[in-house]
Formats: sequence, C-alpha cells, structure tokens
Amino acid sequence: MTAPILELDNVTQIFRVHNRPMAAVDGVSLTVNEGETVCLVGESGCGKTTMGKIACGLRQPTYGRVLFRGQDIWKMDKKAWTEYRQAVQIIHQDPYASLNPVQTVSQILSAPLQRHGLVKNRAQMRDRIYELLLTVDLTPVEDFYDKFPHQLSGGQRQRLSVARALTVNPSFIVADESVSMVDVSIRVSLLRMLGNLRDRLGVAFLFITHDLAIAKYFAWQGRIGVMYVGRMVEMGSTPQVVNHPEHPYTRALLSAVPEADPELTRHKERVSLRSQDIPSLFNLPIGCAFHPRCPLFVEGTCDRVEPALLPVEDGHTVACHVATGQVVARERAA
Amino acid sequence: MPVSNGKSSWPELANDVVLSVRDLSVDYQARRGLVKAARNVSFDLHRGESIALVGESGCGKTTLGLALVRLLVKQATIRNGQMLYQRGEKKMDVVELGQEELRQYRWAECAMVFQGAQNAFNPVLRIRDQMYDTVKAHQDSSKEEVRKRGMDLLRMVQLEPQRVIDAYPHELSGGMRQRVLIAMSLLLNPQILILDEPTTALDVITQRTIIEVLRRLKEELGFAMIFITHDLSVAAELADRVATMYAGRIIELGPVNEIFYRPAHPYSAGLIHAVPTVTGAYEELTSIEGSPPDLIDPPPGCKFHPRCGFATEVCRVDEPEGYGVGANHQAACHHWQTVRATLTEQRSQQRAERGLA
Ligand SMILES: Nc1ncnc2c1ncn2[C@@H]1O[C@H](COP(=O)(O)OP(=O)(O)OP(=O)(O)O)[C@@H](O)[C@H]1O
Ligand SMILES: Nc1ncnc2c1ncn2[C@@H]1O[C@H](COP(=O)(O)OP(=O)(O)OP(=O)(O)O)[C@@H](O)[C@H]1O
Ligand code: SF4
Ligand SMILES: [Mg+2]
Ligand SMILES: [Mg+2]
Repeated sequence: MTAPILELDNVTQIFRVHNRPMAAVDGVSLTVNEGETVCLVGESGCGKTTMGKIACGLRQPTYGRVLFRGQDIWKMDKKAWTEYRQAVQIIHQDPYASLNPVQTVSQILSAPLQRHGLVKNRAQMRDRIYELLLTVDLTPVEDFYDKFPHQLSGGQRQRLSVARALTVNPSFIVADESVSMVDVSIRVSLLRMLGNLRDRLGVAFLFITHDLAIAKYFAWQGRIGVMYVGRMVEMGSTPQVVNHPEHPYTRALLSAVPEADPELTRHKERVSLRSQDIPSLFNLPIGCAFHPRCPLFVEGTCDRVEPALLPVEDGHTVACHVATGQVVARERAA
Repeated sequence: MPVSNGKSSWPELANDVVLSVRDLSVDYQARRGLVKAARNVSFDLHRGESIALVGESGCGKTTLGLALVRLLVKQATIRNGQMLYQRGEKKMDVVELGQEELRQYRWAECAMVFQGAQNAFNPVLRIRDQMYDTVKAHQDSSKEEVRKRGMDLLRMVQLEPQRVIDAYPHELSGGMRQRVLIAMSLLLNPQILILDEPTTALDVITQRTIIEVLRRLKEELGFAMIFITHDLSVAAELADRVATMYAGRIIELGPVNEIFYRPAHPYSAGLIHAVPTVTGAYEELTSIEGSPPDLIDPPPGCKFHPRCGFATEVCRVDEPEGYGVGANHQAACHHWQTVRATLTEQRSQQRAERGLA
C-alpha cells in the first residue's frame, strides 16, 4: 500500500487581513500514502490547521494542486468530488464548535448515514450507530445514544467526533489536535483507538499536533513534517526526525520540550536561540525565515537565499543551508 | 481572628515551614448539591522549595490555590481547616484573617499568578501603571521606586525593561505577558508564590523560557513556590516535591524522584505511565480507564477504586489515609506495597530497555 492517497503539490494559501496579504502556507508539498500516518508539528500559527483544511477540500489553496488518488480535486466532476468528500474526513480542533448542540448522539451520527444513503432502514441505522459507538468505546452504548454533546466530557466529545468521521467509512482522516484538549489519563485510550482504526481498517492519517511527544508516540511507524511560519522545514520518518533532527529549528523545538522524567529532563541538552521572537507572517525575514533566531546562521547566505528542502538521507529532507552542506557554519553550535 | 498575637493555640512548626495547611476542606454550593472540591488537604511548604500540584481537570487544583490566598468565589466555603503562615515573628492562620489583614497578606506574603491571567490585563494601562497600582494598594512608594523595582524584575524574567515597562499589554506576546505577570507578582517580595498553569497554552520554546525564568528567580530570591499544572513534564522539571490530587484530595505527596520512579499510588503511577517522552526509543503507554468521579456524589471508600486495577473489598468501603511510604513520602492507598512492587519493577525494566538506566 504505497500508492499516494493524497498529495499536496506546492500549495500556497494567501489570506488577506486588513487588506494586507500574508502566506499562511507557502509552497508546501506533502504526500500521504494509503494507510500511512503523517504528523504535522510546529508552533501556534505555523499553518497546520490550514494545511489540514486544504487536504480535506474545505479550503481551495491560492496556488498549487491537491490530488486525491491522482486526481486534482478542484477539477473533479460531481461524482468524483462526492467520493472524495466521503473518503476524506476531518476531526476538527475544537469539538465544542463542530458538534450541533441541539442534536443527540444518535442524531449526530444518523445524519451523514442518511445523507450518503449508507443504511437502508431504521434497523440498519440503529445497528450501524451501535457499531460506531462501540468502535470509539462510548460504552455502554445505551447510556450515550440519547445524550446531547454538553452532557459528554471533553474526551467523550472527542470520541463522538471520531465516530461521526467514521460514519462514511473514510480512508483518510485529518485529525487536528484531536487529543490535545483531553486529560492525560484519557489521551492514551483515545490514541489507541485511533491507532486501531489505522491498523485494523487501514485508514491513513494526517495527524496535526503541537505536542512532539504525542507525534512520536502516534506516528512512530510513519513520518513527521515540521512547519515554521507556513513553510515545511524538515520531513522524515518519525525516528529520523525525533532522534536525529537536522534542522536547527527542529533541534530547538525538541530540546525545549520538558520530559516527564526528572533525571532525563534536568540533564537534557538545550539549544539556545539568538532571539525569542517569532516573525510576523506579514513581514517574514528574507532568505531563511528562521535566520534571525538560528544558532547556525551564516551571514551572506541564510539572510539572502531561501533554502530548498533537500535530502540529507533516504526519505529525510531538510530546508537549511548548513544542515544540507550548502555552506559551512563558522562556529558549529554545541 | 489572627493568631499573630502569641495566642497559645499556635502549634509547634519547624523553623523552615512557611505555610502549614491542615485538614483544609472547601466546597461549592451548586444547584445539584455541595461540590466537595477540596477535602482534608494537609501539607507543609518549606522555605525556598517548590511543590507541583498535579492532577486531571476538575480535581480541585485551582480551588486549593485560590483558598491559599483566600480568593475563592462567593459560592465557595472553607468548611474546616487551618493555614498557618509564618515569616520570622509574623505568625497567622490565614483562614482566620479579616479583609484588611488579607490585603496585607496577599502580594506581600503570598502572591498568585492566576490561570489564564495573561489574557486578563487591563488593556488601557501601560505595564508601569499596572505595576504602580499593584504596589500602591499595599504600601507607600513613589512612582520612581516602583519603576526601578519593576525594571529590575523585568530584567530578571529576561525581558527588555526599557521596552516592556512603557508598553501596553497588547504590544506583548502571550509568553511575554506571562513573564510580566510573574515579575509583578514579585513586586512586594512575597515569601510564597503560587502559579496556576503558568506554561499551559504556550508554545514549547516560550514554555522553556518560563521554566528557566522560574528556576532562576526562585534561586535568586529564595521564595517558596506552589505551581499547579496538569503537565507532568513541567512538574518533573521544576518541582522539588510533587503532590497528586484526585477528587479533591492529595492522594500522594513526595520528593519528585520518589513520585516519578517509585510511585506508591496507582493513580500517580497511571498519570506518569500515560505520558510519552520525546527523547529515546518508542515506549508503550498505559491508560487509566474510566473518568474522574462526580464531586457532589463521590463513590464510597477510595475515590479512585472504580478505575483502579488493584482495588479490593476494603477499597470499596474504607477511604485510605495517607501512609508513610518512604522518606517524606505519603500515599493514600491501602495496597501501596503491592502497587509499588508491581509498578517499580515494570518501570525499571522499561527504562533499562530504552537505555535510560
Ligand atoms: N480564515 C483566515 N483568515 C485570515 N487568517 C487566517 C485564517 N485562518 C488562519 N489564518 C492565519 O493563518 C496562520 C496559520 O493559521 P493556522 O490555524 O493554520 O495555524 P496552526 O498551525 O493550526 O496554529 P494552532 O497551533 O494555533 O492551531 C495564522 O497566522 C492564522 O492567524
Ligand atoms: N463556582 C463553582 N461552582 C460550583 N462548582 C465549581 C465552581 N468552581 C469550580 N467548581 C467545581 O469544583 C471542582 C474543582 O474545580 P477546580 O477549578 O479547582 O479544578 P482544577 O483542578 O483547577 O481543574 P482544571 O485543570 O480544569 O483547571 C470541579 O469539579 C469544578 O466543576
Ligand atoms: S486504595 Fe485501592 S482503589 Fe484506591 S488506589 Fe489503592 S488499590 Fe486502588
Ligand atoms: Mg490549528
Ligand atoms: Mg484549574
């Protein structure tokens, strides 16, 4: 199963805010294969959610193409588009906002089943809803069937969002910060449930999170992409990115993370940055957007030329002049 | 009434204890009944130490923090308990303080940085004026004196004093505002600083700055710190001791390494084993099934028993008291010996496998 299910080909998303343009996503390419898990990580505002919305067709990018099983989604006929929208589902960042508060759990799940003609009669409908609630561990099912979203806990609401995404048997799910809002004790079982969908049903995931430890845990068999101010700065298999990061930004991020292990976290090596300020998307630094903060910065190159994503090893690409050996840093940071 | 005037009821406190919380209970009056948000909480805070208060959403962390500075909402009542505070000759039971004494106690003895407060600045006041208003409410100081102290503190929290002191809140990022708040809380040189979720909702690099700032400030100024967090990794990094709360009680309290490497309560252990590390190889995590109890009508016995894999009949009937399970380490679990033996074994095996020794 190595055929791509979804490809973002050099996509750019321009927003106009107070009539000033800014690129929330700037020339990013990303391929997700059938059954594969790709994680997007990066700080708040770097464009993760925008990427997710582009991937599931909720936003048409300003430039670039989005291909679903090889077909440009914005040139699809009605039939292909319907198929695509059914195959690709998003679980939104904010489960409160995306669930209709006046519908019960069973109503929330029956609407898409009906709309897509996936059940023939009431009995089938009931069976399918039971099955979905079982899949996401909202059990005993009878207790949840007639509840409203506000009667569910945060973790249960997340499960309901997942169940709703599953109504249409998707083959690709965009999960946007799906476990970030829930407590640690519940997080693991949610992640495990999502992992089961992937392993049992072969669902591919674009898993968006700002939590690197969660990314590592969920996507250990997959890949991680690191974004910085709308650009992809590093992409590779999860062990490559997490254990052998090459981009100085990825290194800084990983080294900044506190660890839930006192000895480990107190003896961890930290990368220090030259500046704490995240640049404004309206006024990005010329050249490498990370250069004003970068400990490896080389004057004359990094502040003039934007680095391309180049391979450093098999399946591992980095956008950094120094990491890819284009120039040599005067003093290698410790 | 304060017991500052040498009343006989003042118990023996070790010299280095700055605050002794004893049997503190707080509840909220809600429509459905009484929410028992803190129940018989007891602990001593020592001079210069940091205690992390951890636990899941709704377990009573903020309630306890607010009780310590007596800023609970009006639906809340302190049912029973004492909060014995001492600084040199100054001794008082914070539970008994009147409004005027409380005003002196807050900020000057014990300051608090509230949950989400970086978004609650007065938008029309420059930082220097917010600082001046804070100090003015407590003592006579000239604008110049406040400005000078403010600049010193801003430097200590790694902000550019010249730029920040004259800025309006909206000109600063969330992480900068959080550091301004920390600086402001220290204006009156309190002996205790309470921080409610100081790093939550901040990006990792900003979070790192806050952690370093707090560590350095504590070393330089020597205050004691209670910080509330649901993030165990922040506790692992900053705490001398960790207190785990569950359903309104502190169910385990001990030195940070004891709690992380030799936990004696299944809930603390569960929390720790549910969090992955970034460094090192892949590790399996364990989940805690079920959800926290209703605080209006909690289950009998140990409040954790419905979710606990170690529970037996006694757990369903008797609520466990804190057992001494090690040096300075207490855990409220009937089966702590079994729990520890089982889990410590598992954990050290896992750590060894991952090359963490
Ligand atoms: N509809 C919109 N109109 C204008 N600007 C937008 C819009 N949606 C997003 N943005 C901006 O685009 C940038 C990227 O936003 P996005 O939501 O993709 O970031 P993110 O990485 O998901 O952040 P977070 O971690 O905070 O969720 C931000 O600066 C955001 O303010
Ligand atoms: N004003 C109130 N009236 C009634 N119940 C309240 C009130 N404030 C808090 N509670 C309840 O008291 C309990 C403890 O709340 P508290 O805010 O102390 O929890 P917390 O541990 O700080 O949670 P979080 O991690 O979500 O901040 C919760 O069950 C909460 O619903
Ligand atoms: S007392 Fe019993 S139920 Fe409670 S944590 Fe210990 S073993 Fe589990
Ligand atoms: Mg987002
Ligand atoms: Mg709280």
